Amino acid sequence: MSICLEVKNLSKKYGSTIAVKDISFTVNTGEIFSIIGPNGAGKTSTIRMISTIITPSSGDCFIDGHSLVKSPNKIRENITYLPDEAGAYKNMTGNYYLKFMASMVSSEKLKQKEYFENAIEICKLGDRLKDKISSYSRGMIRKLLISRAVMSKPRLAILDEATSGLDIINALEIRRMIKQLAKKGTSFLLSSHNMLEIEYLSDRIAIINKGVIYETGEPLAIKQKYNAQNLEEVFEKVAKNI
Amino acid sequence: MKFLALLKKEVRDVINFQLILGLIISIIVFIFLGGFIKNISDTEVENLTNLQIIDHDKSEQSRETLDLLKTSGFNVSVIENIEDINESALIFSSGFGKNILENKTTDIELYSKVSSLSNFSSVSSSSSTNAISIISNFYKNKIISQDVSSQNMDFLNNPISVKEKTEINNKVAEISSSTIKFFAISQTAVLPIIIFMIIVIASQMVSTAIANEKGDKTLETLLSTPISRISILLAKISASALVAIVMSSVYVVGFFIYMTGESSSSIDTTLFSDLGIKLSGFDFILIGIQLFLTILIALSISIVLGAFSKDVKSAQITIAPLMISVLIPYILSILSDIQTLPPIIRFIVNLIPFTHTFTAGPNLILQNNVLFLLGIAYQGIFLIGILFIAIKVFSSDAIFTVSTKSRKFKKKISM
Repeated sequence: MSICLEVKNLSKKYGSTIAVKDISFTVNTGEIFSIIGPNGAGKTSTIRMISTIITPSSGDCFIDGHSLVKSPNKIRENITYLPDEAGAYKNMTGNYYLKFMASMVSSEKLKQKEYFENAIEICKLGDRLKDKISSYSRGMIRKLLISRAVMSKPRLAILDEATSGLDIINALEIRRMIKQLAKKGTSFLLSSHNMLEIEYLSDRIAIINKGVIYETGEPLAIKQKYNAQNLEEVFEKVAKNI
Repeated sequence: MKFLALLKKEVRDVINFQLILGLIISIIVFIFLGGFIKNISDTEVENLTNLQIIDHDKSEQSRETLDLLKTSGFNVSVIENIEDINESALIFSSGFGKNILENKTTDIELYSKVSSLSNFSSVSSSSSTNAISIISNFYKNKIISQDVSSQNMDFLNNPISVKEKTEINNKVAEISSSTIKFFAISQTAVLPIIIFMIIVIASQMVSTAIANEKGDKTLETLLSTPISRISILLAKISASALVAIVMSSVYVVGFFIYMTGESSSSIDTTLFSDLGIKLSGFDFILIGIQLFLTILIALSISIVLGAFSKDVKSAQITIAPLMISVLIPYILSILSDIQTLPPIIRFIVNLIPFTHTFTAGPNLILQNNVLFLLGIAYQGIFLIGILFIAIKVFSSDAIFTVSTKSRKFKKKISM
């Protein structure tokens, strides 16, 4: 399996506070890789760096050989990013939003049309796409945003707390959506503090706390290593050893 | 007790940092303006007793009149030429004494020079008007104390005839300075109010939009797409510029309609055109350009300030400095002539880019073309500077790591 994302010794400092400290990991093509940890562990800073939103204090990451530090625009061409609790432009209709975002990803009309049609198929919002986003429920907005994030079939889709705040049915639909898309070749980098969700979704995980990655591997292997029933127990044991 | 608990909660909601900051800012602005206006008032009160006289008659009666004015409390300075007049002077023409001796109405010329259109500038010319009133009463009383007969009734009714001449833009017309000022001010009176409103509305609109985009994280989404940050910023500024063009156009058209209505009133504006104090079509274009620059500056500053806002509420705090920098020249331009302020204050006030917008109208009317062009040039340079800062902010982490949610600009770390 080829490597989609390679993170090398990435660090982020805010003044004297170290948010992320020298982390390294890889994400393979078609793999769902998740970073788990409590609030303030460094998940969002890591994801924001890989998404080119903020610049690393040191280290680098690579997608298809393109360096984040040297050519962030090349990275942007290969990724999509969905922030935690993100909204959409409320004055737009769902259709207009998807077309607008497709035009941000590609300037070719044919590709824009293809991305738009992909998004319609993925989000399954039907006629509601003709309505203003301001009339959407939280679950509908999340589906719209996830379809936006994967419509261009990016090399890597980065989703921060993909299902946070959603009800059980909506969360389940989105998890299934992610699994199906991964099977079709899209790599996912997820972040969550919902360990049960991550255990269900992820091929591999990284446990992060206080900006440091303490464990990386398959959920089952990690659970066996720590002799734990689930990832929550793993995290508890890892946190005690820190 | 439940009511008290509720009341306490409501008071805590109302008395927040925004309110306290607003109050502090208001106090600072009023202290600054209060001290400043007191300074202007003191100067103008001094001017109320200063009086310049040109005595071409040099008769016993003219000397008697000069003595009367001195004993009435005026600081009379006798000058020889019109060129020596500061703002206004009374001119006793030859024959002044002879007419008084013959109980004939005599002329006094009130010669005024208009160099400022501010409200306070009209105070100084009123010393001449007061003096005429004193002279007139003096000669009325003199007749009454002597002999009131049918022969001198006309003189008793009207001992002094005032002939007013006003100099503006190096041209002289037989018209009162107050009429000229009224017409000149009427052309620019609404200008500061509309500019102030446009800047406030446009700035709040843009900073709130940016704060919303940050709050909804749509900006984060947009910045992760394969588009350069400069393109995103330029699109925002271009959209703002379009709004600025529309707003400037609406204003200029509205202003033109207002002036057309003004011109079609009973006032004959031919004389004002001859004096060069009527704004031309070209002047309107120049005002439009300056207004466009002003709105662009305000919008660019709002984009930068809005970028540091965590949410809509904090966006209101962040644009407070912008509001103050508009408010100060706005009030000063109404009350005083900014170019006659003490040098240090004038320098500081001129550093505020909006000052040049508020002085643009009077500068065009008074044909201070160099000052007008310098104002536009300064605004152009300021705009380039603020755009440079905006590009830097959008190209750095600051847009996501610095926010104004709390009292100080503090690092917002979302790990």
